[in-house]
Amino acid sequence: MSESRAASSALPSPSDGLALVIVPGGRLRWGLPSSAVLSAHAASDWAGAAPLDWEDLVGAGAPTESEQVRILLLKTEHAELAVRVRGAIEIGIVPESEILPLPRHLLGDEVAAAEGICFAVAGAPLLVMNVNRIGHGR
Amino acid sequence: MLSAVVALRIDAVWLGVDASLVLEILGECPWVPLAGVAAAVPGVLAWRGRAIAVVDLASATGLSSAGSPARRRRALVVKFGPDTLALPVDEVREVQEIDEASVRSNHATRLRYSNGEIDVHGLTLPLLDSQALMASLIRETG
Repeated sequence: MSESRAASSALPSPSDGLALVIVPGGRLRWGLPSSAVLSAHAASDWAGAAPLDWEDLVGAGAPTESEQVRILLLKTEHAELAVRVRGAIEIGIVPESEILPLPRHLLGDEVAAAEGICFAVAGAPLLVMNVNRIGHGR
Repeated sequence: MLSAVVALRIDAVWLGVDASLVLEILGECPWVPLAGVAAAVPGVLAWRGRAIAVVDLASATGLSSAGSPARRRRALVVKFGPDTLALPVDEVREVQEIDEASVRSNHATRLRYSNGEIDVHGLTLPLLDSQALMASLIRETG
């Protein structure tokens, strides 16, 4: 994905599965539907509204130390949301059938923003997020 | 009707689970911790094409525990009511058939969500009340 370019335009056909912009983590990564990611920017180039820290939004604790800091501009139902993420962003496609529902009634509101989890990927599992619910339930 | 139990250990505490509710005993398995969730249900595990909740019995039943559920060497996959769960444990003994009449009220053991105790394998085990546990977990997170 090139900087400041719509992520979805750089991805293979959606018929291959769900295209995701992947935010790195330790034992768990987060997948944002590429259709909801308007653009990605180097932090030094960002001139928009103050971004929110991804770790704060998803309750991930202390930020991962990384020299790579990006601002992702997300499109939600009602607004655009700028978030600051650390680490190397990747793009991937996962079959929608591999996105497994979470046992929400046991996990509570803290996973309200997650559509499901995908284990069938190389590397750490992916929590597939619904950007419209990010920050809700926290 | 309770006719067999599986004895499991968490840290130094042994307890019994109705064997008919145990689907599988796994070795050490890397479950995925989720941020911000309750300590009693700290994550999920991939099991047979599903994401099942991991329940930390030490936290859920009020056992004082120095051990992290992430370090436990085995996991029981159980079906408690409609829910399939993974229970990380330190040790599991073989299934022991029992006479239901030998289950008595808790006297020698104390465990939150226990509905009796029994002597097996030379141990006195509190029996986990899975219904009470699940009601508590759902109440806590719902």
